[in-house]
This record gives sequence, structure tokens and C-alpha cells, in this order.
Amino acid sequence: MEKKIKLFVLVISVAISLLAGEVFLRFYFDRYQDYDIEMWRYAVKLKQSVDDNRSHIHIPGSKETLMGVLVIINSKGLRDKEYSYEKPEDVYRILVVGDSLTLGWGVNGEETFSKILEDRLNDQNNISQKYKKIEVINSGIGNYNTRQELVFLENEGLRYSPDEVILAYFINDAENIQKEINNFWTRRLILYAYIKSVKNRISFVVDEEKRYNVYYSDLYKGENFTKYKGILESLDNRLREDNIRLTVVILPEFHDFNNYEFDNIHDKINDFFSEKGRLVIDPLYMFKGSDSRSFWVAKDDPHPNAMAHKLIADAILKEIKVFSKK
Amino acid sequence: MVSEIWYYLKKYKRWWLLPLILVFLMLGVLLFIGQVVPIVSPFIYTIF
Repeated sequence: MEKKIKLFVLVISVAISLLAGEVFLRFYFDRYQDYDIEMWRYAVKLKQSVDDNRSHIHIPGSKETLMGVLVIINSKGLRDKEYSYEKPEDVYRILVVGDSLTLGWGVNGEETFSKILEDRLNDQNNISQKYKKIEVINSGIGNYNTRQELVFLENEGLRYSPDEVILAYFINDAENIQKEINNFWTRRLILYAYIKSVKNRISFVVDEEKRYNVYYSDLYKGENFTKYKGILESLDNRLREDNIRLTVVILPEFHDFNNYEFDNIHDKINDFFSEKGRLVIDPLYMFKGSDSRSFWVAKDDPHPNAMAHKLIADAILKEIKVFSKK
Repeated sequence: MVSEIWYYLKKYKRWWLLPLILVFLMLGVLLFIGQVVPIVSPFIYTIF
């Protein structure tokens, strides 16, 4: 009997200890930012699973402070002001499709390159009699790849009847992993999430093949890239069906601008879309040779900060051909 | 210090404190590793 009591007390002690650890970590990460934990909070608070190939969408009407910035999701699941699906006749509408860089991870909504573009294009809007206003809709969703972006366009994006789609292309868009966010323990326990996070960090250091430069390069080799080009074809064809202009903006990889290892990948994407007659804008030249970390959102987060978003918008503005023939 | 803690737990039969000590030791190690491991991960490995 005494043994049973001791066992019971031990079990309770372990449970309380884990609970104390959970509470401690919640207070700790409320005070000290950690990129993985902020991503966990993004997944738990702002995302929900869907059964189609998108795997997840934003929860409409949700909001959360992430990386010190308030992220508000509108009623249609986008991090932007409200736009009706029906496009007014005198509006030229651009839909920007992309992932967390497009979403504006770590920057205020109005500091994203989409919103800067909208403001600056409207300031310059003196060249069309047909259009009185230009809308640039930010439809960026974190962790999306091109496959998911294509499904988003088909299920949701094209409902906005855009005149133009800007595909904000990032180097990891070629991967085919869709994250499941329905794991019971991951969604509810920060302790579990953080253990997973640290385990992953250790594996990145130990396993060279998992490092970003090796991983990204492998996405564009051989059979991987051949399969991926099929998705790019599908996206291009789908927009062509509706006579929608496509502009591709190749966002730079922000880890190291002094030793940039992905020029050949930029070239591959540039060549693919240029051969199809699409405008390709590559803002990399704005950043090469600079101190990469000066463009990071935080010391442990190489997402582009507000200054980087501004430079991306500047690069787009130099080349985008709004109102011209498709 | 470890031996002193162990002595205290054993002498005063506070063995039920051991899980708490171990959990917070584990947290300390995790937080230390989280701080010192460099960011070399690609965005793809957003694990959530």
C-alpha cells in the first residue's frame, strides 16, 4: 500500500513539475522572443487546417502579436484591409501571392512591400484614364509553397478578379512539404513545441544536408526541379486562361549577401518565366554586398525587416508595367 | 552542490521534489541550447 501511495505521489509530482515547466516557458517566451516559438504561436493562433492541398489557411478575423508586431487577419483570411471579391470597374487590382515574407512576418502591415507598392502606385496614378485607383492585395500566408499558392489562387485568389498577379517567389517555394498543425500536443503545449524546436536546431548543426544552403540547392537539382517546373507551368497556364498578367518577383534569401550562393536558382526561375513572356523582377541587386543582418527582423530571424521591404518595393516600382498590355 | 541536494532529498524524504528539479534542469539546458545554436535552418523547417 505504501508503495502505491509513493507511486501516486511520484506521478502527481511529475505532472505538477511538467505543468510548472509549461507555465514557466509561457511567461519566459512572453518576455523573450524566440523565432520558433513565435512561429508556433502563429500556427496555433492564426492558422487552421483545411482538407485541400493548401493544408492550412488563416483564421478569418483572428489577430495576434508576433515578433512584437500585431498581425490582424481580415474577414477573408488575409493580412490586409477588407477588399470585396467584386472588383470595381475603375480599379486596377493586383494580387500578391507568397509566403511569410510576403505576409510581412515581423513588420507592420503598412510596411510590407505590397502596401508600399499600393501607396506609391496610387501616388503615380496619372497614366490611365480607365483606372482611378490601384489596389494591391497582400495574400501572403506563412509557410506556403508554390503548390499551395496555386490551390489558393484557384480556390480563393481568383475570386478577387485580379488584373495582375505578382508571384512573390522565395527560394523554398519549390519544396513540397505541407506542415500538419493538428498534432494535439504541439498545439497545446509550449514545452512540447520547444523541445521539438531545440531537437531540430541540433539536427541542423549536426546534419549538414539540412543546412539552408544545401537544402535549398537540392530543391533545384535534377528530378526535383523537373517535377517542380510542372507546378510552375500549371500556375502560369491557369493565369493565362483568364488573361491575367503575371509578374514574378524573386525575393532574395537573406542569410548572406556577401557570399550569395543562389544566383543560379534566381537564373533558373528567371529563365523559366522569361521564356513564357512574363516579367521577372529580381531585387537581389539592391542587397548584394550589404550586411545581411541589417535587413533581418531579429537577431535569430532572417525574414526581411521594414527597410528590406522598402527596397523590394523600390525594385518592383522601377520595373513593373501597370496598365500595359498583358 | 548536487551531492548536497541529493543528501537533503534523501535525509528529509523530499524525493517528490526530484521531478521538479529535473524538469527545471532540462529547461535550463534547452534554453541554453536554444540561445547558442546558430540559425542555419531553412524556412522550410518551420516545424509547426
